[in-house]
Amino acid sequence: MRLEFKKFEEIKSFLEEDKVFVFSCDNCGTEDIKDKNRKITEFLNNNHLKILGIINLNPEKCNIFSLREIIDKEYIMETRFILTFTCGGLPQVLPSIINAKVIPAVNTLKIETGRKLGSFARLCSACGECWIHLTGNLCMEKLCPKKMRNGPCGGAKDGFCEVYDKRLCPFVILFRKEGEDVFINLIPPKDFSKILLQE
Amino acid sequence: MNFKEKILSGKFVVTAEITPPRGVNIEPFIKRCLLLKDKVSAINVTDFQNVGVRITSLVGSYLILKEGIEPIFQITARDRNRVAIQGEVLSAYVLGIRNILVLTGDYPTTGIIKDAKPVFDIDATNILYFIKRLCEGKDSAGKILDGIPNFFLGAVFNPNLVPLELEIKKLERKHNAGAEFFQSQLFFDLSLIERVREKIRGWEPKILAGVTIFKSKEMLEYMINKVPGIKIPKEIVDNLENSKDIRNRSIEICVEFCEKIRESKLLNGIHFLASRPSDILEVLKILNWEKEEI
Repeated sequence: MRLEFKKFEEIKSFLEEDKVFVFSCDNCGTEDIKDKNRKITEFLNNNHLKILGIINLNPEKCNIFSLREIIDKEYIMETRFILTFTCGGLPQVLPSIINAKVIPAVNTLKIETGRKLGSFARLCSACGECWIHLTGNLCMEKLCPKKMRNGPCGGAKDGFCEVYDKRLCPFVILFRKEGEDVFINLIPPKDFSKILLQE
Repeated sequence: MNFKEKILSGKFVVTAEITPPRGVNIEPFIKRCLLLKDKVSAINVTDFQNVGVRITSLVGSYLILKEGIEPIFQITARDRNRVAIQGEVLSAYVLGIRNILVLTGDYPTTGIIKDAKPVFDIDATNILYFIKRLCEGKDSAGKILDGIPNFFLGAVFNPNLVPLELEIKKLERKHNAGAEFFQSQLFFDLSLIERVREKIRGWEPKILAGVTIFKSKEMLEYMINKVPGIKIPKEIVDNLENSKDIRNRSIEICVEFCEKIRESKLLNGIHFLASRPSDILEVLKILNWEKEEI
């Protein structure tokens, strides 16, 4: 698994205070977690953010049962902002367990299939430019066949997708969840160069 | 007055869409378009409609422009990436095309060539934004253009979408990205547009209402089952199915709805979707809207 830290400017505007809780992992066994956490600490310190705590995951702990257990023990409930330094799977799952704003702090550039992966990894499309914090933590790369970024395509029938007619259009879910505010700013196109040269 | 001037000056305009030929015989296409010359303000030339191989919208638009008909060049996100779209748009300007309708495009599996790889590199909103940037003299990579185009940009609006408020937000986003007019999907309920007008504050979108004339039972069934984003009320379906002649009944319904649309003053014109030019002419004749300057 290959991740890169986002530019701080990209996530800065979503943080309303200088304290964050961090979720980290060993990139499905491909990175030394101590080394990774040292980089995370450095990144956050450089950007004047205080770390409330860190939860570390690995493929064995990367499932909903283990996650609940770990959160019960190690998570600080007063947290308002969570930064995830994992693939895009975890930040999609966390909002259903924890009441805080969950922001992916890294982009997932590549996930190698065939290797043992944590169960949330299958939710991440490794698109190279995680943007779920703009869409209520719903991954449109995964949920929308047309990869729409600025609202529904117009092909839905009674809210159901034109391609998979048993599935609700993810933008309908987003609208019900977050209301109108998330539809104000234009979301620019994806930068595909991030994943084009991943060997 | 051209299409842009008419619509911006508040005139009630009529447009129609025509599909370019599947094959290289362009005569029937030109003939169909000529039937509508001076009867409608502009003709939309569809872009690989129904995911089928046809002459491109660009060439179709150019062919009718040569015949003195104002085209609305359609471009979708399905078959071209951002490079091809921007290149196609610049080419359109060089050929004299000034109106563009931007669409996302139906998914390949809903159309004819189901085995095609969909592109969807950028969505319709971002296409609008990129074309607006071209009109400001830069391409998406920031390269300066030698000669700057200028387009009247349009987008589609689907009043059938649930929840409607979501589609209104999308319309606003498209407007912010550069859309100056909207052509709607086929719909039958004017109260939807009332809701749109009530909801949008501070500006008034120019919206042309999508209408159609069902030429046969097959077309009606096709529109119900195969075309994404269309919702035909049961009473209209029953009304058409129980009539002796679907086409004639459909013309009556269309005429009635067009009159209602115009009287309501909620919309800025009519856009005939998937209709035969001869049927469109019949509707316009009954409405007494035959002259383009209505």
